[in-house]
Amino acid sequence: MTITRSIAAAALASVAIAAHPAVAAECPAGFPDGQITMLVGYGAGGGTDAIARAIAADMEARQGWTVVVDNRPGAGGGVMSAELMGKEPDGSVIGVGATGTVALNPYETKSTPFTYEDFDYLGTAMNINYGLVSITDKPYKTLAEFIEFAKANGATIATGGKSQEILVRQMADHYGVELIAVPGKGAADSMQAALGGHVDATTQGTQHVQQIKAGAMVQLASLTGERVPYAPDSPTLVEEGLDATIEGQTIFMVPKGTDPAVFACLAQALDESVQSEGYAELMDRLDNKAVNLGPDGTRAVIAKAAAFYQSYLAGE
Amino acid sequence: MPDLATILAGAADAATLSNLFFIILGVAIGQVVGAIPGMTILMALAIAIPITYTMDTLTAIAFLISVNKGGTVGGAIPAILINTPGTPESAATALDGHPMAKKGQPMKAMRYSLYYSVFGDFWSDIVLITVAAPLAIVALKMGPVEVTALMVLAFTVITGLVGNSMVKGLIAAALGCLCASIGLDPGQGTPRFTFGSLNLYDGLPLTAMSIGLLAVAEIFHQIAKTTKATAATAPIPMSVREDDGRLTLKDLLANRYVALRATVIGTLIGAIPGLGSATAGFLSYSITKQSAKDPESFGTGDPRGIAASEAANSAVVGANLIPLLTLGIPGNIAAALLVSAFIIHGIQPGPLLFKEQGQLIYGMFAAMLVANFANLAVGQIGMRFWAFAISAPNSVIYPASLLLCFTGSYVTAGGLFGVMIMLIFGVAGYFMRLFAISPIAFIIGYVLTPELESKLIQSVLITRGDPWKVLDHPIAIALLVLSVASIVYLGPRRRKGAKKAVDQPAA
Amino acid sequence: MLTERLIGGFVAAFGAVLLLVLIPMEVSDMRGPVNPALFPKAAAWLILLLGVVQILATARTSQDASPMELVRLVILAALVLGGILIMPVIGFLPTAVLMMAAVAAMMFERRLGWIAVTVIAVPAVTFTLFDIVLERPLPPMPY
Repeated sequence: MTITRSIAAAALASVAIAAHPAVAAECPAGFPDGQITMLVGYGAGGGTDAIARAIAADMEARQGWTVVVDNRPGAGGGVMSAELMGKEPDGSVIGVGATGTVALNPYETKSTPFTYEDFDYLGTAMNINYGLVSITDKPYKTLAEFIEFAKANGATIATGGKSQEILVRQMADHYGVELIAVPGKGAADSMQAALGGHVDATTQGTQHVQQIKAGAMVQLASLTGERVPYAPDSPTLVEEGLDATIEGQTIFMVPKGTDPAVFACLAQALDESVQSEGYAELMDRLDNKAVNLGPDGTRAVIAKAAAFYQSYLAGE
Repeated sequence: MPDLATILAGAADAATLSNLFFIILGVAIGQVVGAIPGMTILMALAIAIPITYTMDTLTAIAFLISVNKGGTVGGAIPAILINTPGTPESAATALDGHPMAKKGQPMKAMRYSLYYSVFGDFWSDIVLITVAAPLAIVALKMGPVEVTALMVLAFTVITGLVGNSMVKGLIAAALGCLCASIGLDPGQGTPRFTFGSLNLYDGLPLTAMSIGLLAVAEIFHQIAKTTKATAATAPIPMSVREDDGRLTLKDLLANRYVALRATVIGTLIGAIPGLGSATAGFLSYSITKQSAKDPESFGTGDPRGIAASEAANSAVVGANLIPLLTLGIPGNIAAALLVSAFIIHGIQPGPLLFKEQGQLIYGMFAAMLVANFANLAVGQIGMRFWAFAISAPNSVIYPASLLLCFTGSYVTAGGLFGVMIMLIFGVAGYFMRLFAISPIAFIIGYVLTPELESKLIQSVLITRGDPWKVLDHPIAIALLVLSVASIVYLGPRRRKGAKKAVDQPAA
Repeated sequence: MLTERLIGGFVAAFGAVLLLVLIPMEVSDMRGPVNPALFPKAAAWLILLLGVVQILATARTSQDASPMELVRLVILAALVLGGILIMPVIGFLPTAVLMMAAVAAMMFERRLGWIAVTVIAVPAVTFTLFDIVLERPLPPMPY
């Protein structure tokens, strides 16, 4: 069924190219030569996988290419990155990972064989809205009240990843209170500890949105660069005078040294798919929105985060 | 709780021909995928999700849940017929299912497995439908301290599965515990035994490892021991007597308490996120064996063994939806895949789900009940097909299984690294079987340790390292007392059983 | 009895290697809420001690394997390893056909019909199932 769909899409797209050459991205003649493989750094069925597959399907229809999605889970995108680094920089393989894959992993574990500078970045598709949240049964509703609470008793915060743990430590240093990061096996594990009242708060990327809408949780602080639509009253840490965010972009990358013409073509194709209506619908369902920072913007965000983690972790 | 009108409207939504079609199709796909060595239900779910993009929401969810339900039935088939369980949860089923099949009663073993599986699944669905919300709140009380205590209890109870030699069983469990520490440690994220390979950062890939240890080891054994004389025979003898395959209501009712206890264990374990069906199946089997008057008959084709394992691991499937539907917390990987399916269809699992999507949820419940009956019906037809397939000669069955395991490991673990793991554990499993070092005890150590370590770290952090704080957690104390009791009460009896079982073939 | 003692000796030696070499080399020993080395060390000590107890084992529970069976196992494992090595080079289908042909030969199968099933139908069905129906790409054949 999916095969016939892609054939039909390809047929449609080729008609479209013939009739309106401007519809598709501007690519050098003869590109792509054969199929394009999208290597996803996470397992099938997850959030990043869903985004990659949506973008791949849209690219197939829009550009008339054959885009095959293949999963390379492991080490937070590290397995995918290591494999991507060894590929020919001819645009036939695109990696899909997260900001932390290249901005944090290389400095967290010394044996990581790559840094963010080994890749070129086509752009992003989404930014995860991280927040610090707690259940409404707790005696604090704002960041100030939470810090006040922590001053007296210390506080435990369930986290789901190294970047979240580092942020908790930054907060503890900034406010001069005892904040204990309790590492969970993932977002669901941390959420469970928080809902059961076993910890005082949790950092979350997606699951907290429904809890806030249901009135079961409040967002104490937004861990993003800007405030988020579902909790407009929750200030960012940056506003509070602590320059700390968790960057959770879904990034599309290629090996360094890709031909500029091919790179421009892929970046344009990605942008067209990220800006498409179908993708916007998917983002709507995820309570998020499509964000493409573009090649330069993506590199800038990654470089900034990488510089921070490198110096922070070196000082440990 | 929505009113009766919502419930009826939901049920009516489910009762369309196209839904029925997709439920049956889903169950059939799940059973086939579960039954093929080397393929797992997670693979089937991950792959089925994109197919549902074009379906309407209720149909899509009914289809995916049916695939999941079918998979729990199908997973027992290769475990029973050729002793190659592809997943840890069906390993306990193989312990008694395969000996029964080898005695010439493969149909009977498959029937027991099907009926008890659907029994456990059905009653856990009923629990989900009627008391999901209160049970979820109880499950939330299980914090890190309580789960740590629960894992301690699980370790003490599960020693009933160590095989004929207690010492060797414990060696196997310790090796499993050691292998579980490969990868980044759950506390501080430092690499352990990764030897510089990024592939090992997330630990050994469980699917490829289980396929190797449980399925490929047996395939290697069968191929290696083949001689010219046995080459043309089929893997198991089919009984010529018709009544060997028949199962009466009386046979089934004889194990009603075992099946009921297994269902309760499976439902409780399923309601607590993160524990999973393998834990439930092992716990139930071990408790059933240890509390039996004649533990030595387990492992020789005892229907109670099949009932204990299948009812428990299937009960997890329905119960896993309890934290998912009421709190939005997926209890295991299969449930996490369902979450992505929900989201893709515009539904956010979480505390608002019943309020905002009541009609859909009750439609889904109706579909789940229908899927249980579809599972029974498709299973009846399916087992005839599998019995036919297994009548092919060894020279086809085992090479084919080997290639499927090879390909399945390639696909799930993301490349040849997974196949390498499968090969290593295939050879290791062969020698473990030869030296009577139970691979099941190894898997138990491997499955339970990460949960214990992770929760222990969380407990230490939450209690600020003060062990006396455990006194604030009455549930944890009760579980720890139970652990001590299980060692004292079940210990001597276990040893007696083990001695008697020395002359039995190794599990 | 000798087998049982050898198993014990081997296991105990592995425990010692873990404690003396592998854990110091591959696990970081640092202070924290729970030391990352706690579980590996506990497992290693258990392996060491249980190995020693096993050396004193009194009952034989191991099974026998003929030398022929072990030789065949080595060949089989080498075949699978060969498959892993050549698959990226020649693609999934040729590798699968070669592997199945070799295994069928090991199974002494002489009937052409069954050989055809194992060598041709099984790889074809597996490829169709994973690569085409499930859309999980397997290594392609080079053109």
